Order: sequence, then C-alpha cells, then structure tokens
Amino acid sequence: MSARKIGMLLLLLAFGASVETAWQVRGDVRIGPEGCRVMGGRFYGPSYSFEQTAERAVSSPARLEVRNAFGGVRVAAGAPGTVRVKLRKVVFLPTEEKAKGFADRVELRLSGEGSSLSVTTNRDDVRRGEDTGLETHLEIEVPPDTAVSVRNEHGQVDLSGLASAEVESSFGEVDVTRIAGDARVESKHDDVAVEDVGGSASVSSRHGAVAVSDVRGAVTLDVEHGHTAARRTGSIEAKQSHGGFQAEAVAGDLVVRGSHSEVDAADVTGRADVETSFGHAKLARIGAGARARVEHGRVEAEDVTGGLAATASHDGVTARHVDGAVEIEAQNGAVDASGLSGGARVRAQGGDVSLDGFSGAVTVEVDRGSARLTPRAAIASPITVEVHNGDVDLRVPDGSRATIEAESRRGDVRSDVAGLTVSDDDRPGPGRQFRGSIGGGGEPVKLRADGDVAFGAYGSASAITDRAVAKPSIEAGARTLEATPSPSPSPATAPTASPARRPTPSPDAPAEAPSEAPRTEAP
Amino acid sequence: MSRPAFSPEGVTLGVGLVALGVLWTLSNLGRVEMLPVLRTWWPLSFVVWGALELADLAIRRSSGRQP
Amino acid sequence: MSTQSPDLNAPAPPPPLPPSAVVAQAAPFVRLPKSPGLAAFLSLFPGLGQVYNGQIARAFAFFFAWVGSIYLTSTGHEFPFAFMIPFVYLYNMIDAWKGSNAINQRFLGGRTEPDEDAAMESPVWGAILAVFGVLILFNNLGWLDLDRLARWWPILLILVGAWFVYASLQKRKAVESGDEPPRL
Repeated sequence: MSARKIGMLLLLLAFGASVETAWQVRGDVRIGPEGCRVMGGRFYGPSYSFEQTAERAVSSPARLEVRNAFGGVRVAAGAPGTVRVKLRKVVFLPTEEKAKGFADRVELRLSGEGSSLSVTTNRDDVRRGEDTGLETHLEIEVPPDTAVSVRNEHGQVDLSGLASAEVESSFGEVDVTRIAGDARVESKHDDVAVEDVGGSASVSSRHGAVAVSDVRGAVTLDVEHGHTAARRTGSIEAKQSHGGFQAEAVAGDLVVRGSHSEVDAADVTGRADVETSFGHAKLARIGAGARARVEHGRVEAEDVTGGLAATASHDGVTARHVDGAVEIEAQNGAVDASGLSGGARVRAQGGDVSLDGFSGAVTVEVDRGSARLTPRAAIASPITVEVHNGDVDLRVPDGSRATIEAESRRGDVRSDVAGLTVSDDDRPGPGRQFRGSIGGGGEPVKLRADGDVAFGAYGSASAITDRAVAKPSIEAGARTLEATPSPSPSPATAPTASPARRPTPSPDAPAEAPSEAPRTEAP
Repeated sequence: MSRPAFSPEGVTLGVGLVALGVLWTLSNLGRVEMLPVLRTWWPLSFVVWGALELADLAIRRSSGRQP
Repeated sequence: MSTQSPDLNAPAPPPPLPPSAVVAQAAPFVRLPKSPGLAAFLSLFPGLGQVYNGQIARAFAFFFAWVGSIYLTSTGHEFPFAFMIPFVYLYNMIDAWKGSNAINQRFLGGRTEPDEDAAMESPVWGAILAVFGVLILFNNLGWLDLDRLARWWPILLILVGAWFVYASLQKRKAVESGDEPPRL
C-alpha cells in the first residue's frame, strides 16, 4: 500500500475521531443553542415549572409501569384502590409565556385498565426537532400492594412501600426501599441503594456504587466499576469487577467472582467462595467452610468453621483459627497460619511458611523459603515437611511421641529437645541425615530441607491457640414490613432518612437538582 | 501496469474540503448547525473515497482493454 | 576502431563500475519504490510499516503478536511475554526497514516491482472503504445499531484468514505457471 493511501486513511480516521470527540464535549464548551443539555447534566438558562395531575382507580393487586426521561420518578405507597400522578414540567425558555406555550404541549399519558396502568409523557414527540430544555418529573402514589416497573434515564428514581419493584435506570440515582416482595434494579452511571426487601434482590450496575441492606431473600449482584456493600442479607451471589466488595452478616452462602476487586466478607453463616484478582480476599467468621482464590493478591481468613482452601499468587496467605481441614497454596508469597485445628496441607513458593499452634496431620512443601512449625500440643499426628532452598524449624512440645526422619541436604540437623539427640552422621559429602525417635516413638515426623533442620524444645501451647473459633454473628434480619400503607409518605414530605441512603431532594428543589448526567440527547 | 486515471485521494480530499467550506459558510450565516451535520455525515468521506477507488479501477481496466 | 598493439606505458583502465553506479550514471536520479525510513516510522504503530511495504500478512502477524504479548503479560503471564513486548515492537520496526530495503534492492537489481497503486487492482480495497463508511453513516443516522453488530467482529478474522489462504494459493499458481517470478 502506498504511503499516500496510508496517509489518507490516517487523515480521515483522525478527522472522524476529532468530530466525534468535539460532539461528546460540546456541552462543556457550550457549543450549540442556548437551553441545550450540557455534560454536567443540567439545562441552563431561565426555566419555568408547571404541574399537571391525574388520578385513576385500579383494582388490586395493581401493576404500574412508568416510562420517563430527563426527570425524576418517585413512586410511594398511598391510598388503596387509587393511583395519583403528578407531573411537574420544567421548561427552559426565556419567558414564561413561551415556556407555558411549550409546556401545554407536554401531556401526561395514562393507559391501561383494570389492575394494570402505564404512566408516561409525550415528551419525545414534543421535543422532536426542538432544542428546548424540558424536564419531566413524576410523583406517583399507588396502593401498597402494587408491583411497579420503572424505566428512566437522566433522573433520580425513588421507590418505596411497594409489593415489588423493577427499575431500569441510567444517569440517575436509584433508591428502592421497603419492598414486600422482590426487587430488581439495572442501573448505569449512578449509584444504587436497595434497602428493606422482603423477597430477593437483584442488582446490575455499571459505573456506580451499590448498597444493599436488610434483604430477607437471596441477593444477586453484577457490578462493574463501582463499589458494592451488602449488609444483613440472605445468600449472595456476586460478580464484581473494578471496585471493592464488602459483605457483612450474610444468612446463607456467599459466592463472589471478582476481578480487580478487593473482597471483604464477615459473618457469613454458610459457605464463602471467593475468587478475585488484583486485590485481596479477607474472610472473617465463616460458618460452613471457605474457599478463596486470589491472583495477584493476598488471602486473609480468620475464624473459619468447616475448613479452608486458600490460593494466592504474587502475595501470601494468612489464616487464623480454622476449624477443619486447611489447604493453602501461595505462589510468590508467604504463609502465616495459627490455630489450625483440623490439620493442614500447605504449599508455598518464594516465601516462608509459619504454622503456629496447629493440630492434626500437617504436610508442608516450600520452595525458596523456610518452614517454622509449632504444634499446639504434644505431637499426635504425622508431620511431613519438604523445603527447597530453606530451613526447617520444628518446635517439639513436652510429651510428644514421634518417629523422626530428618535430612538436610546441604546443612545441619540439630536438636535441643530432651530425649532427642542427633548422632554424628558418617555419610560422606555435605548434608546430614538423622533417624530417631522421641518418647519411645509414635507418629511419623519427616523433615527434609536443603538448609538446616532444627528441633527446638517447646513447653505449653501459646495463648492464641486456646481461643475457640468465633462463629458468625447475624443481627435480627430485615425489619418487619408494615402491613398497612405507611401514613406519612406523600410527595410533599421527604422519606425517612437512614444511614445507608442519601437525602432525597424535595419536589420544590431547584430545577438543576434532579439531573446529573454526562450525556446529551441525540439531535 | 496502467497509471491511475485520476487520484482518488486527491479528489476525495478536494471534495471534502469543498463540502467542509460550504458547511462552515452556511453555519456562519446561521443556516445550519455545523457540528451535528458533521458528526452525522463525516463517514461519507470513506464512502466517496471507496467509490472513487472502484471507479478508478473500472476506468483503468476498461482503458487497458483498448488496443 | 583500428586494432593497435597495447601500449604498456599507458595508464591502466579504470576498474568497472558497480551496477548501482552504472544505474546511477545512466539515470542520475532513480526514484526508489520504498522509503525504509518512512517504513520504520510507520512501524511506530506495529504492522503499519509492513502494510506500507505491501506485506499484509506480516502486518497482521506483528500487530497481533504485540497486542497478544501485552494481553498475556497483563493477565499474569509476565514470563516470557513481558520480554516479548519490546522485542516484537523493535523487531517490527527493523523488519519494516529491511523489507523496504529488500524491495529497493530488487528494484535496483532489475526486478520489476509491481506498481504499488496498480497492486490495488482488486476492487476489495475500494469496497472495504465504502462499506466501512456506510456502516458508520447508517449508525449515525439510526438505521443500524453497530453496538449489536460488534459482537460478530471475529467473522472479520475468518474472512481475512480465508483471503490470505486464497491469495497464497493464487500466488503459488502464478509462480508455478511462470506468470510471476518466485519471491525471494
């Protein structure tokens, strides 16, 4: 291909990229007619508000569908049998007369019959070919046993006191609270808060934080580029990428598949199964076993009942107080474990292994590191240690009975344990071998290392090993949902604030509050 | 091998500059919004260039058949 | 010219000129088909120098080798792919330079290189440009959803691979039938 053609190709591609970029940033530099959307998500210039209301009787249980854009949607429980809708239109035009003329063309559309109702506006028809800024905010009261489905963009969504909730939203915060049944949220480019759900909760989020709390049923999460916090829920199944993940008080199993995420989980009554990368996995108080696999990160596990399987690469593994079999693998990291009461199988490369206060059969393999083992009490189970390019140090508590085989390929074997004397080795060449017994013989203890093998006297178990494995603690589950409609929620008052939620703007807030979206409408 | 009948790149560039000039003039006169139009229609430059390449090829092949 | 006895006192004739100088003497200005410097410069984007030399398959190979090394390094396989990143990148520039030089050498050695623009004798190039422009234009007009189509992109790899196979077979046929000299 000639240089001319390559140059032409690059020139056209660069031109196209410049045009696309200019289009994306035009709001920031205010290119375009006044009243157009800017990347800060607000229309600018003078604006005027107008309201329109409507009411419709519905039979129970009702189903409500709401479709909106560029404005907030708030749906709350109201009186039974009736749906009340208030539409607030905010028009960005220089004079009130012009704004009213424009607003009169914007209509509320209610359709459906019986128990099913659909609420939307004709804003797409009105705005076709126009550059006038228009926000449409919907405030709806529904019977408490209503199932609500909302699709909105560029505006906040608030649902409370409903039978079930389904939300699809972008460029606006989503707040779903006090739902008797299931809640499902799909959100992009803003935060999500789901609280007090009697059924299951499912949240899918891109580029926004997610907070889920007090969910009685199972929780399903799919979050990218945002932090996730889950508290006091049923079992959790989560996919998390590029953002931290925190779970506390999970009544059931926890399964997390993460990437570029730090995972912190505490008080899980069931089994914890965590995989992640470029971040750590920290597990505490797990009730039915734990499995953690981290690539390029460390694993920390504490108070695990039912066994632990931990794998870490490019970092180490720390385990404290594990009741059950333990399997640990650390690539390019150290292993530091204490209080393992069900035996352990440990493999480490590029780091030392330290097992303190263990009981049960132990097998340790170390490459490019040393091993230091301190049993919790007299040796009563087999111990096998193989170390390449490192030393082995085994503390021998009083009263141990063991048959010992020790070999140091290039170093020395020594002991300061009473009753265990290492005799001279007559083999030629470097290294040393020793076979002997302590306490008259008993469980096999096999230690092999390239470096030194040392047996050290050791009295009683250390204090840390005497503590029992702590069990997961779950507070009382989700708050009991009210059987009758909540007396207070009405459009005029802000909902009850809670620590997990952000304050909701009042209906009379200035026009620029609801929409915070880095996007413009297509021409 | 026959030389190209015309330069597809040159014609595309020329036509593109003319179109850009017309658009910009109309925008300065307030008749059109330049950026939305440019953003929608810039891929036409590839279509024009591709069509000119095909036309050039067709012309060369037909002139190559002539004695 | 009359035949004369050699004059032993005459100065020795100058040595014969090398071929390049003969060419230079016959045509003081020879426009070489490729610029090695430009090929190396274009190779700052791996593969583009090879495209300039008309070596499309090599271009693909270098590009994907470089991108693949970066990907494999970033997904935990630093050894050996971290070492391959600079190696592939630098070698791609050297290869583009050498490719251009080889083309120029063949040219100076009297082998005719196909006119590079005439190398676009296939309508494929024009068709690709037009289709590319149409797809993006239709997307901008709302008549097409490129996001949905995007998942089918590996079909392009299939088509490119099939085209390589076809082109190689065609070339082999041309060499075997004597229509085209074998490429060194």
